[in-house]
Amino acid sequence: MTDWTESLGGPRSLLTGPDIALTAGEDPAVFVIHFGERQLWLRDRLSSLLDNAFTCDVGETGRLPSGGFILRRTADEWWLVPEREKAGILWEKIAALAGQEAVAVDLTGHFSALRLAGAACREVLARVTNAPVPRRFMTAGLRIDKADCIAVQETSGNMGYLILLVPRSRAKRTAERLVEAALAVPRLNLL
Amino acid sequence: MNGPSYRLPPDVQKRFGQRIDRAQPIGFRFNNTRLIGLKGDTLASALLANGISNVGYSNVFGRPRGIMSVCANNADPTVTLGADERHVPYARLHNLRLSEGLDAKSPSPLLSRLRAWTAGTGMGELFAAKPAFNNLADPASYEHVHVHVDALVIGAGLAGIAAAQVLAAENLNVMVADEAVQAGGIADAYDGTIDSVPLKEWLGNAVQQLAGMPNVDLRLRSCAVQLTADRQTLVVERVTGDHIEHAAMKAPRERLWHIKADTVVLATGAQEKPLVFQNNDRPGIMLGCSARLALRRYGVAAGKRVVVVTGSDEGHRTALDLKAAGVTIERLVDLRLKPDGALVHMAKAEALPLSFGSVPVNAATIRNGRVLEGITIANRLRMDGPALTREILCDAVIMSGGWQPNYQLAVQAGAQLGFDPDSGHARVRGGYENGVFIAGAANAEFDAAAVLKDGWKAGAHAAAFVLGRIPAAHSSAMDIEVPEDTPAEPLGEIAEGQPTDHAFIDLALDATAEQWLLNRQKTGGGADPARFELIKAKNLEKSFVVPVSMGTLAGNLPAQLFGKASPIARPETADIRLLNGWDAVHCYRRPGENRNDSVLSEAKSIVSGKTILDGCWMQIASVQGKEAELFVRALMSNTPMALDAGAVPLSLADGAMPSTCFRDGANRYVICAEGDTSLSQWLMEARERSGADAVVLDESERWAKIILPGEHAPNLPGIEPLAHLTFGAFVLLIPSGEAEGVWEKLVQEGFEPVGTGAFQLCQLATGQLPASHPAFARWHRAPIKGLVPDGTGFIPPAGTHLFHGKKPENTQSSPVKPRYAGIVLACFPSPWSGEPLALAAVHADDIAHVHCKIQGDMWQGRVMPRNHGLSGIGK
Repeated sequence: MTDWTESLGGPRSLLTGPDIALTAGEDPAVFVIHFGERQLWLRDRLSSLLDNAFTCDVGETGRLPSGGFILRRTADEWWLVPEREKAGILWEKIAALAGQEAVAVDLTGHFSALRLAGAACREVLARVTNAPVPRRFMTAGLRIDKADCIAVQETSGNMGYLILLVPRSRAKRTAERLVEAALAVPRLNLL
Repeated sequence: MNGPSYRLPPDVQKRFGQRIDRAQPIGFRFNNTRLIGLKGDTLASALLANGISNVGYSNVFGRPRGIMSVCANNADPTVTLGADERHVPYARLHNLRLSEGLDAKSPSPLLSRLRAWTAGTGMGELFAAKPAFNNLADPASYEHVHVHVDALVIGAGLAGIAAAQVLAAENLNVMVADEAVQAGGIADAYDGTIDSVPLKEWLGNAVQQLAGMPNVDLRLRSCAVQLTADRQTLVVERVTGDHIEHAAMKAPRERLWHIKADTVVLATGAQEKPLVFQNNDRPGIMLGCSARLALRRYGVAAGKRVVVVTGSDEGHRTALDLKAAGVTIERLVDLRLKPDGALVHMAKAEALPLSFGSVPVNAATIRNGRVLEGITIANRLRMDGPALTREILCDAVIMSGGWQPNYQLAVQAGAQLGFDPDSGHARVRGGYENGVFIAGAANAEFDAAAVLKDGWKAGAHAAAFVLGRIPAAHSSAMDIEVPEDTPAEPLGEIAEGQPTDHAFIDLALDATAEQWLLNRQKTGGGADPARFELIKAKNLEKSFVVPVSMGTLAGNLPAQLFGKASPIARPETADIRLLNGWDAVHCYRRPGENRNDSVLSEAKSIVSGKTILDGCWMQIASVQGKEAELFVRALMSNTPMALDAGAVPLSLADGAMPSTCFRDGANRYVICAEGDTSLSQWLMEARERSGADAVVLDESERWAKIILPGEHAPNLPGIEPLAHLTFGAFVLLIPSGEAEGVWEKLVQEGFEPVGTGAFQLCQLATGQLPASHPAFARWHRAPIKGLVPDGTGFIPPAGTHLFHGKKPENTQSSPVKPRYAGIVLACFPSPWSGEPLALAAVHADDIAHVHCKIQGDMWQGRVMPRNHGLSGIGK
């Protein structure tokens, strides 16, 4: 399940412009973990496995010490998006810890990953989403056309970029919409 | 229609015509007449300059109308721009920048007259004011933008700019939206200084400073049309909408901004009210401030011989400007008995012909009401008998009835209105708990100094709302010198004994006070007599409507519907159709075959050979957790816990959603369904109701679904079928990343790809409707049975009603009376024989024969037992 897959065929770079770049990445590994109120033991064990990563508030994102990020979708639902090369080993450990008591699901293959970088990044999103784009978001539930996406702000050196996790069946259309929006004129020059 | 030019000569004072460039004439057409304007003109000012008195007709009665205002006001008629596919209906004159080649047309006068003649007869709707629509597809694009800002300031006048200054100084992200082409509101209609800097120059500097700040977005030509209590705002930005010179750009015509703001400052200004007298809507009658703005911005006078009627100092201010521009003031009529203000004294000093304590009672016109000839005024004070009246000849009347705050957006956001008897207008009352603050003229502050201070104050409150603290000392001016108006009397009353049937209080709706009240009563607005007197006397209610095009509301919707894409690639021969929101392959078209032939051919392959089908439209959800087993047992109709994990799947069904469930591991069940209702949502709702300690996850995207249809679905070495579908079909759940390879492998193994059309046909032939059929939505549907023709080789189409000829038992001697038997649900050819078959909902079990009439001919058929398809009628 956690083998490398790619939703969008063709070139990995979908668009490159002076203030925007859109690339398609490999499908991310996504693990869903549910902690009930009575399963604090599992939380403690997983926290020790992931170096105390379960500290975000609902709707926020945090870093996984081994690379990747963690999202808290609801009070008791956590989504882990680890780096691909470490995903297999991590899943084995999580599955072993969860056992038959807790819910841990490997959702790899459910999402495709798109990466938006550049100054016009927010403008492009504002042109395609169905809800106001938060001005400062670490993570957000965004809806592009009919696709419920997850956007995560990442930084690499001095450059910030957005990772969009898009349902696999909508990935191609979403990528096309993003390219259309990135090519649209005139620039909005959002704040 | 053309009159003399009303453009001021070039040697007039420098303060007149500040926005125009006399060296750059612009040609345009109005009602097929070629006219010349100047660069910087709006269509309204250009028409005024060309002496076009009648520019359109009113919305309800079709009365001739002129240009009453050069700034935002609903009184003016709208025009249609262009006649090609880029035409713009309902364009407003005041914010329409003149461009070379612009072609504007007013609505047909004939329709307007018909509307006027039929008004009140119930036939007026037939001739309602309609722009000239055409059937050409609009090539323009429209886009939607969704953003979040810290603060949104609506209105870039004096108050809006002041509020934005405070908010921007706190380093908040501020968007300022104004529908005008230039920031500053109507500040250029006033004289004065702020900190010894002329008002207009001070405002220009402030706008420039704001525009240069990185945290401020100044959007002009952007009109806010909706504001909700939680500060969701819709703003329509005209990007290239009415600009022919930008038509070649690829930019959208209009852009709809969906803005979520942490706080909103409403600086929407105010509308000048008309005075209420008979025929107060005639061409040639103009509002006072607008007449002054026409002079100062565009160098255009409203007329050559003007009468000014006013209830406030605005009229005096305008009259002084008109005199300075060389216009003859026939009479300055002040409704007040003893006005005493600086502007009144200045008017006296300029020797303007003044009348105090008089009211206008009627406007006289010629040429069927299209050209103003004069105005009749009457003394407010009278002894015995009727009031003394006097008719004054003129070609323009400037009227000023005070101001009415533009509170419409505030009301949308939940604000309450109260009536202020001293000022004679409504104003917003109550707190600002929801983060919407009102500033300036919209807050009933009408003097420039008060407007400025109110803007700063609203900005400070808004900043405090966002930051949770009182902001640092905000901008302030040490010295504001702007002539203040003496308080206007809340006038607008109608002289006694004078006709009032055409004395309008709302020119946009052609509403007199009586009509307005009648409409309020019809719509449940109340019938308070005191309120009627209030409306009649105070003239306070105004509608304000901004037309928004359908294209703008629709946005850039795709030209076609896009379904979800399967992880399995499709060849070009695939005929794609939407099925439960997915782009499913209906059939694979072969050369020389039509769609029906392909479907039938594939159906035969399903019956006789090895086939595979991309079941992308099927939904997969998992139920996991400690009580998953209990939950699934309660939900399904048999007992999944009897299965070992990973064992042969079990076919289950629930009344609401036909589905298949199998056990995938300890406390993990996977449910597979075909219906168009959201499976995971249905399961989640059921879980909420049951309170089971289980988690439902939608896994439809995670899996590719490959169906092996047909009763001879083979056992594949190395691949275990996971779910069992109808009529012996199996579905393979493959991780979506691996699906392509598995599909190709199966094709290499000799499996023929087929589409959903053939699959559904086979389902029908076995007596089963596809789960997506609308018949499943009906709880009490009749039993579904097969239908075969008696003799003739066709079947009535789906939707045909069927009858049967059973005799009623108690009327043996009466003729046979047909009774309703049911309805044909689906009609299709048999995949085995190619003969037509049908499924029908038949209401009684004992009906064996049915009939119906098709195009006059009687058709008869036999009803087959339930689910008799594959072994009976199908073969």
